[in-house]
Amino acid sequence: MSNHEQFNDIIDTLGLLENILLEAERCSKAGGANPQHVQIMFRYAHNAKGAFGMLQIEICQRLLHGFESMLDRARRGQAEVSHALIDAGLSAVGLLHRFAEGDVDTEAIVALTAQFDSMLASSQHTGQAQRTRSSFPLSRKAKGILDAAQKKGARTYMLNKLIGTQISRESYESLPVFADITSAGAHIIATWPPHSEIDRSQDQAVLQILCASTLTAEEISGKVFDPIVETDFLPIVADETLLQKKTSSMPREPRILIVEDEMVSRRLLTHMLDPHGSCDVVVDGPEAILSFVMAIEEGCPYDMVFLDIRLPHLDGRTALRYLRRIEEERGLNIRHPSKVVMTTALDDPKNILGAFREGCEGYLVKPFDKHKFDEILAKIKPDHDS
Amino acid sequence: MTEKKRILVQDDTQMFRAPGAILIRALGFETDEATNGLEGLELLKKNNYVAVFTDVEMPSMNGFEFVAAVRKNPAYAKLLIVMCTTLNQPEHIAKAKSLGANGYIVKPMTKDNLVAAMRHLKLLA
Repeated sequence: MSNHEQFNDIIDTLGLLENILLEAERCSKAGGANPQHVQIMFRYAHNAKGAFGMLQIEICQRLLHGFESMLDRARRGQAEVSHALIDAGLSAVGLLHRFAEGDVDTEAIVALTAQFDSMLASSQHTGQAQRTRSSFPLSRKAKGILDAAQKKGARTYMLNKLIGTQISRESYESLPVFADITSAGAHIIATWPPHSEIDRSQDQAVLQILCASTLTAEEISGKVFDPIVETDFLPIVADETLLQKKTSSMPREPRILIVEDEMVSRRLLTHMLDPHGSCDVVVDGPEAILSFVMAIEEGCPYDMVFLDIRLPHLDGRTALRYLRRIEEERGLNIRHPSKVVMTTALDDPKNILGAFREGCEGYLVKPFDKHKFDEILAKIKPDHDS
Repeated sequence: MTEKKRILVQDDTQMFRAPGAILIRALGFETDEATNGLEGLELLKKNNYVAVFTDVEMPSMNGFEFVAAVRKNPAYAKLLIVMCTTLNQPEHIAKAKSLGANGYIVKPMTKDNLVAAMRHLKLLA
């Protein structure tokens, strides 16, 4: 393989790393890093570092080593995925892109390497295990097992396992990691996604394994070969039986769910929507899912959902996929599908198009434009014929 | 002329796997390539290998899980395993050794560190 081809590979890898960094930046606000993003960022940083290593370009290799080491700590729950880290990662990608194009800024590369080194030193100094928050659909049975384990004082852990998306069902269901977790003294409660729901748009995806144990993360991680972190798990309970309660056919005030983590937008949206129905307001992805399920169980599903794309803990697009899945399981996709409007501060066509594909009815770009808002509302209000 | 000995090169990233395989072939071996431990185990069943050069960070079945799985099977008792990774932390080397890896190469794989590892394992004179 020629150096030229390797440079193309490096540029591709840097592009992938940049995309996932931008995605992480959108989704992670105060304390809301998405562990799957961290795992994938680590993977690309690792590959890019290896690629520069093969070309024996030590200065770039060292820069990526610093970033990779921080991500390695982060995926093990030993460091926070701060804005500073994501920003530094983006700067690194920028510098390396320029390097690959022949614009070598040695001074900046060395300075950024030192920045990673000092981040690493201070994270080792505090050394505190970070807890993560996570959420995915859980069967009633698994929810029961989780509750029972927690009652006995077990802690909950998440293991994020990278998988090849072309894996067969048989291999997927018998991965060696399952036996390793059990022999390490932890109990597997549930996994996500099921084989049929693996996102095959990339060649690798993350399998989330929720487990419980009275042991500490350190005790377990001696026997498993993937990072395991303590997690606050918010279950999304998938009801196996269709909900018997029928949604009321009586005219009622429209029910609206507002999902927005940023205070100003939240207040503004609530103010604008208040005259049009009864509003519930939540601040992150897992809460949105819980609220959505509770409304269905109350027999009064939401007519409209305003869902921010950038959200802590679970990003808006993933939340939307879960919402649609919950509706489908209950037959609500036909009887009473919620109208969902994605909101975003970025005029980001890639994200918005993605949201349309995953089934939302419209989008609003922040700051909200009154005219656009009225237009969308007219389209999705329940008393409208279309 | 005796048949060439066969070596399995295992890495999920083509830009590391392909050059590694080229280097090994240049030293007079046959090579096959796998992108993760699960694929590697399938190839082990089909062919007779003298050694596996495996990456650590791979999807589905990583290098550590692969070594553990191979060492559980007495049929592969003589199979040499060399871990290749950019993770040059001492705890990874210790972990690989305790699981039963025979050697360790810190990436990038070069003719020098490859020849040194192979001599150490008596794959080369």
